[in-house]
Amino acid sequence: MSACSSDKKSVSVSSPGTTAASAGSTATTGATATTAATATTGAGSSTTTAGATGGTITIGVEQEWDCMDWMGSCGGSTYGAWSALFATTTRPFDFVQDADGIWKYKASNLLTGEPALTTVGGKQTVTYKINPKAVWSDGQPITSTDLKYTWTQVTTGSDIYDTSVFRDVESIDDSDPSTAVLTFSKQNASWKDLYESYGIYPAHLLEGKDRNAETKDGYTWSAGPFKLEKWDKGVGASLVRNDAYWGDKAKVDRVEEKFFADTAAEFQAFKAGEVDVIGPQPQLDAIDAINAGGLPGKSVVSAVTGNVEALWLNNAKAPFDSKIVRQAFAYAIDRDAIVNKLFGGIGVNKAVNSLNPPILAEFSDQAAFAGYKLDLGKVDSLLTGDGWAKGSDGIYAKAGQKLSFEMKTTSGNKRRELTVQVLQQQLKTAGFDMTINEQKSSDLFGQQLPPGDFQAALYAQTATTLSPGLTSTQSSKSIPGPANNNSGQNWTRTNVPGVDALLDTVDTETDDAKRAAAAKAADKLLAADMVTLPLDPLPNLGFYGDKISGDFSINVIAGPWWNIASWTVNS
Amino acid sequence: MLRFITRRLAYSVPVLVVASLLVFWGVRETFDPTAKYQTSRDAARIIAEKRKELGLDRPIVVQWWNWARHFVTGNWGESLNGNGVREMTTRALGFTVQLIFWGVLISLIIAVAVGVYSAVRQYSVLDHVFTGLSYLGIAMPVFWFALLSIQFLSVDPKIRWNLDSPPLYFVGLHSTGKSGINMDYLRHLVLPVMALTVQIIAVWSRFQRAAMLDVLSADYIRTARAKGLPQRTVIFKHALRNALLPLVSQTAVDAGALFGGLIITESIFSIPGMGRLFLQALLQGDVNVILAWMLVSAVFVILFNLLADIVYGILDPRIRVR
Repeated sequence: MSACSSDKKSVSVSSPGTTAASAGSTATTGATATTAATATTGAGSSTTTAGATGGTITIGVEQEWDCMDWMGSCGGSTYGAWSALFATTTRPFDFVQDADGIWKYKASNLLTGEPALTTVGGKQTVTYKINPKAVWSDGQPITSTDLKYTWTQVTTGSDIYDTSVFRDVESIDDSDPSTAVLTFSKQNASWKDLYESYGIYPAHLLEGKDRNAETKDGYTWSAGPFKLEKWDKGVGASLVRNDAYWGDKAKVDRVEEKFFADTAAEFQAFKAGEVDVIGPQPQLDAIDAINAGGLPGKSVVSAVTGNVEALWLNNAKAPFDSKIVRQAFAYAIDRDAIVNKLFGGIGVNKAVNSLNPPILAEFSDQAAFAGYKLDLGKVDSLLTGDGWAKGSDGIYAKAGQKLSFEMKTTSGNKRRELTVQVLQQQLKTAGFDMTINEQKSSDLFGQQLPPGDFQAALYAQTATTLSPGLTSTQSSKSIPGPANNNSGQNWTRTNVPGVDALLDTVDTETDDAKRAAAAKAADKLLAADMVTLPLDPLPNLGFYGDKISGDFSINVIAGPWWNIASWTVNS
Repeated sequence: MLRFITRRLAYSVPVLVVASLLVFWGVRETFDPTAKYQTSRDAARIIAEKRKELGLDRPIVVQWWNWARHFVTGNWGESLNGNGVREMTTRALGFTVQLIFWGVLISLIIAVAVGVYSAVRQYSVLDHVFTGLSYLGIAMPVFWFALLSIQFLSVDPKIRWNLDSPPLYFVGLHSTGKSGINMDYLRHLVLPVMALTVQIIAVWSRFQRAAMLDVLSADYIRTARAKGLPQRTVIFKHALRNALLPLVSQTAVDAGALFGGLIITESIFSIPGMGRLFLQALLQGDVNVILAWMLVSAVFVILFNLLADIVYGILDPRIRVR
């Protein structure tokens, strides 16, 4: 998981070469719905090829990406991943939703089937069989050397966004171009994540060159349904169909992407038909624009996301170093009312109840925190039992110390401003004195949260893989300190007995059932200790104009236009 | 004249040096350019590499000096995202210059016409109308006017008449894949130029009206009229030339300031000009970009102020600088 202020890193996608059928429901604005795609074909197969129908689809992109070297430190952009990474690269797994609505990895058309997970000489190995039809846009086959090159770059290249994903991979055998054998130094349960973040890079084009220099301003190669034609910085980007793509070819000739700096203008452009599809962030102005009505076409709102926005409590700093105060805090807040106020207009009105985001439902207890509902009686009994007493001002105090704390959040975010204002009112009623401190996101995430310079904070964590990942934020081993070179992300200093061992199991157990059981048990322990209070899922939004047709749905990782290759332009 | 120009330019150098040092210090103190890497799982290593690469481990004056000596040789450095700052600034300037050119040109034409008419037909119905509109224009927030104009001149007509595309575009200055001055460009230009000019026209027309009234009451105009010169000759040949002096000066000063960018206009109309460049750089704490922006903007302010003095001298030989 990575902390999210306005942008986030996404990693997985369903390759358009896999035929997808709608398994959910497409909802119009106002309904809470998740539209999902379930893969119906085996890996590497292409069941339908309707052929190109031509035309251009125009996308409104809310944030321009910094660079197109996706593994580089400049490459962590959600909109970059949605708009260019997934359209032009390939990876071993698709990100699909099964019949039960659970998001899972499924072997993509890059492979001939699911990779083989075995143990050789006591070491975990994974064997990828590469689809012989898989080729780069220049016609060169995609080989095991490309997988090895990507691994080498991530682990030893310069200026890498996150090297840790491959940290347990000891070697890659590429002696057979059609087979890559990965050997791990230790048991690794998240091996399916390996290539999902950055895609696979072409060794035959980049070997011996400066990868970052070759790719950061864009690249001409592709292993996806589209090729980048042009990235006009500040203005937009153009994608054209990759005719060498071995999966289902894109039906439209081109995808034009336009960058927007203003959400209101983005919605106006959608209304006016200047763009055919937009995927705005769930900010208040976006929700206002939705509620104002008059939007053409279809809209999809999905509360099943990779995000968890929460009230993060510093477990090592008063007053939240007390479990009783943390629990009283949780009973003092009507979370559903807050979520309804924020997102009720788009049909999302229930708080989330796990620190794992909704897409990780398989590996979490999504009801772990459900017991924490507004109950002022419990607040009073908990606090008075702990020696607190309400003063004449209605605020609890103990040993001359008022129950006061400061809530930090990012500045310039109207939704969060509203959230903390509502919180302040609710907590005052319950006897807490909360002050609001808004900080620039760079200061908050860079200088204040890591050293624990906060009592409570409102921000979001975003899942960057399909693997459960609470170790980085909830294991005591991740508390920033000398042992982890101060790079741990357990900023709340959570240290609940028993949780570390469970999270270790989650990280290393390759049996999904055992892994899920450990993850759920960890969720329960964290909830019982009320380490932090989850709030909302930051819904995903997608709007699709009248000019286009297709299966309009939101892939929680790959975004609102993940399957744009299958869309057509209406005549 | 050359001496005057040289002296004025020389005076501006220490101003730019001090300003750049202060901005450099301010941005470095305010922003940690490595902060965004804190959330990476390999944060410590990345941050250490970045700090070394950016020279953040050195004293602030050394950092500034390294930046300054490279800047004057044309090496403006890289943004935090690894893009060339000179290319970024030049590119952004290109967009802003287009807006300023058309905005100033149209504003001047309309403001002069309105100002002259209002002065010549003082207290007429149209003079009152223009006065009311100019106050409205001055009071109207640019973003509000921009959004309204988008709604009423682009979105509504498209929906009402079921058009294939809106009559006026409002995203960028060209449709993707198009360039040059053509109908597509003009359809993109109308709304942002309207948003840019509404306040300028309002202010400049009041300026022009006042200046024209002043001139029209002068003795030499009365003399010209007494000599029987036609009204058109009196107004356009004798009065207007003198009445333009204050507006020319104001235009040069205002236009120079516009090069810093039109943050609201550029944001709403998705035009990647100097205003958006500055805003993004400021939000990211991108000191190289902010400094380049500041110096380019300052240079234009200085040049246009100088231009105002020179043009003033040309229009009015009595105050020509020697």
